[in-house]
Amino acid sequence: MVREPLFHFLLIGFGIYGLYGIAGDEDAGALERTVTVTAGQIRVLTDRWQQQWKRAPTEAELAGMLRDHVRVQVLHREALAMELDVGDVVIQRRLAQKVERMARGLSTPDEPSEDELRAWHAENLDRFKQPDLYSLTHVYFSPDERGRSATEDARAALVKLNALEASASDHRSFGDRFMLQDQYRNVSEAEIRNLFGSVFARALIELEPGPWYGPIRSGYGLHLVRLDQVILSPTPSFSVIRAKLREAWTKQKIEAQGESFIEALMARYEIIIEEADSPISSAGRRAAP
Amino acid sequence: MLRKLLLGFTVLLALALGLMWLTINRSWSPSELNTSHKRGLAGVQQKNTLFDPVLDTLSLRPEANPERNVYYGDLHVHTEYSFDAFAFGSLATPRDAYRYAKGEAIPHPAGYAIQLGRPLDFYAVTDHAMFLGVAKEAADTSTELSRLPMAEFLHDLNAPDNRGFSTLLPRGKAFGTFVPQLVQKVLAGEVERKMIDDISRSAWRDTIEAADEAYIPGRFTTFAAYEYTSSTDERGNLHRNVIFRDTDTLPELPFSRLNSQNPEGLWDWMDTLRAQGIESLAVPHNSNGSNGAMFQRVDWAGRPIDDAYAAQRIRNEPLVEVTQIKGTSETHPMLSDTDEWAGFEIMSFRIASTLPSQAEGSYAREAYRTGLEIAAGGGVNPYKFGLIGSTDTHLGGGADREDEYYSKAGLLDGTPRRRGSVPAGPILGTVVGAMASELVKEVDDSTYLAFNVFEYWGASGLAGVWAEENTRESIYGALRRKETFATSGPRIRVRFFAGYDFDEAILDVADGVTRAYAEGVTMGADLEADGTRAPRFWAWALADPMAAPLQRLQVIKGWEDGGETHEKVFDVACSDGLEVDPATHRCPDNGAAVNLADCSFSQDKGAKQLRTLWQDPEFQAGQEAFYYVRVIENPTCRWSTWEALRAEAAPRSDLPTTIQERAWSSPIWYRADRS
Repeated sequence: MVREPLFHFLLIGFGIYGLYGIAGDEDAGALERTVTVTAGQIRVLTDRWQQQWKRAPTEAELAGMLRDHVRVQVLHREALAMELDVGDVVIQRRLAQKVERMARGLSTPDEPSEDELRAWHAENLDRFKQPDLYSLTHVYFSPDERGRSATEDARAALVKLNALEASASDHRSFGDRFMLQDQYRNVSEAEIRNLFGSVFARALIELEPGPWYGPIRSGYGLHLVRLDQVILSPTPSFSVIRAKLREAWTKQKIEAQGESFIEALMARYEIIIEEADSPISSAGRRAAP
Repeated sequence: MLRKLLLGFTVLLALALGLMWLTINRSWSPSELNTSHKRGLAGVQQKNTLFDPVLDTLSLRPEANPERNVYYGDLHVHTEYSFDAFAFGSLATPRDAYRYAKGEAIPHPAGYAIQLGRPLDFYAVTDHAMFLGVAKEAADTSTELSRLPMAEFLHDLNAPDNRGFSTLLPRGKAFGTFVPQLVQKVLAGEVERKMIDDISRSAWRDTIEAADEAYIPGRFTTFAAYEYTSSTDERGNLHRNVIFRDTDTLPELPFSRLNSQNPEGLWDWMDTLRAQGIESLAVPHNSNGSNGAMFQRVDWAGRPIDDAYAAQRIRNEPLVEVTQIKGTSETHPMLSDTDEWAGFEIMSFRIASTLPSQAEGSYAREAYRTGLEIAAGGGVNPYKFGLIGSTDTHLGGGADREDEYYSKAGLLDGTPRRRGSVPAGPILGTVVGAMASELVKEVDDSTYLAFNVFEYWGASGLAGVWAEENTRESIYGALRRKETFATSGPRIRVRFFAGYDFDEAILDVADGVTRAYAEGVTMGADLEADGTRAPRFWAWALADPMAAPLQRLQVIKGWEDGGETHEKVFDVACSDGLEVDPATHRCPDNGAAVNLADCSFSQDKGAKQLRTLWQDPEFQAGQEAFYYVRVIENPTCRWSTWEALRAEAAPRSDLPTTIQERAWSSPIWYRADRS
């Protein structure tokens, strides 16, 4: 429990709230009428000037800056006293963002242990999984050139191809000239889909490696296909992607810590949402307009 | 069957475990982890195929192909770092853009997801160098920059509760006022240049990092790139994208309009970098909106182009982006009055305005002719460029499909009503019309919104390259030698060779392509004269397997004769077994039609593949010429028709209802022997 980060956040959170509570009570209702500009604040102003103009401000320029600064302080306090911040969405959002950023920056997670990282790797295999890789050879039969006999021709060729000794280029004496490669090595299903269309890709990945199959239809026509090799689930091994894992783990941890802090804050509120009296659309969103 | 059952069971188990995991949230039980680990391995062993647990699979690549493959990409993509994209409500980062290219869904600012049906092979984020990252910074009210008075209306512009219809006008204005004002202030020294440069430097660094992170040699290529965004004082568009070969060494800041309004300054900078080993090329785009300024016969100072100018230009600008969302710049009906297909996606306004753009000097084919004329006068041809397409999306992801269009200006044109394909409706039309009458248009007794000229924009385009493999070296090499083609969106493939010894057999033999490379030249190259011999051209096109079939294959020729140039369109192969008429050089109509009631098209018309060995019937060995391939699909519905159909409205009668998608190869230049 003591090592639990949520516990730490709650502790810090309550601490901050407590401090505000004590400081705030004394001022409640009364408007503080002293504006103090500290030496530190003056330094911030002069530094900014220096940065922009490459020299220190003159006496008059500093006086001008101080006047502006004090003016903003006074107007800001008056605004708070008049509760002008209440209900201003821009201010609300700004402050909410600050707390959100604070929540994420509260602490950097410890280095994950080797076991922790391995476990997380195993749990998130899919995130780091590379696509399965296929190697294939195909022969194309063009309906443009063969018309109705394309299917018949392909079937006849299939018998001959399967009767041949498997050798690298026997298939080249069959079918029609085609712009794509007759052999692909180590391509993913998505790449096959890009090349031949989705129907062909789906059919191909179901084949057993070795013999010729077909004819299979693609967006171009008919094909006899031989699956030469499949490399399934080539998930990168732990050692290969260790650095990447650590980075992702830390990022996810920071995200989760921030979220749980905010959730813990939210849990301390009673939320009441009244019945809506405005029309609600039930239409779902399309993938494209 | 058993396998499917097992698979189903595994999926269910995984889902159940996932749900448990979510519920229990943070109880890390070792037993559970073991189960899931074993499950992962069991899934692999199920099929009796090769699996080696120590294999470094990240290094497995498809084999390089010496005969070269087609790779498709988009080399014109904006993200929230571009001032205008930000004003349009885009929140896509460069990393989001690369995720989109790889096939993931990313959000459109108008509240829906955008996703590619098929991932792309290469991609480059090209944000505007001028004020790179600056609008985003100005909108963030915690920054120094946001304190400038002119930044005020950008404050929280893209905050979640600030994206409604009422913000559209201010958005348009934000784009129109912030930039010119800031340019003026920076040039006058009233806004410190260093503050702007610091912001841009960090955005540029982040852009490069995103490109490097997304690069997977062999599978997905990225480039460090940006857009140089200049125009003439009359708003003639001079925009160029600058693509770097690699990211080994790069300039700290891109060269922008703030450095020079004159593109010759950009070429000087690129030459200087090249001398230091930093190789890049620039790609002009939207010449259609240049008001004649893109392809002139004179330099920036108004002097006739000399050899130094021409050599520098073609050295730095080997390519032109001939088609994109803001229209196609191949040619214009006024420039090519014998080309029945010239009126394709014409967008004849100057960029970011509604001023007309003059056609002369604004289109690629005419530039090729101008180049021949300059060469005929003894000069160097400055316009010997190849062709690519890209989208110019400002959303991180490009819309290149007619049936899934979302344009590119974010909130401004993110719905059919806002881009004018569907009537505004009586209430909205009246309200907007009362605010500003130029923002609505009456067509066919209906009121349409007219925030810009969005209705003339289109779902285009793609860059195709012929490269050995999908790596930076290989793809950049293809861009450099102009072995490229452009498409209006579909994944059509085009091959084009010329040689003196080609015979009919080359079309059918398995090593035909190897022979063609060895004995001839391909797109983007010169074919030197061989006495008085006539070359033969091998033109070959393959349809997109998931789009409409091809209708005709064409060769477009331009030639020089006594200082004058001419052009002619030749159909060279027809679909459906039809023959080219030798007198008219046209294929007969193949009868392909579109049903406008549901956008379906003829299934039995057209070809998947068109190829031919062609000889120019009018070839003259003494005439310099260029030849490029154009391949035309059967007609299909234009995006505006699809959207009207979905809204059960009639398509606008002032817009084309159908479109013939197409691809254009880079030319082959025939060099006459003039000695």
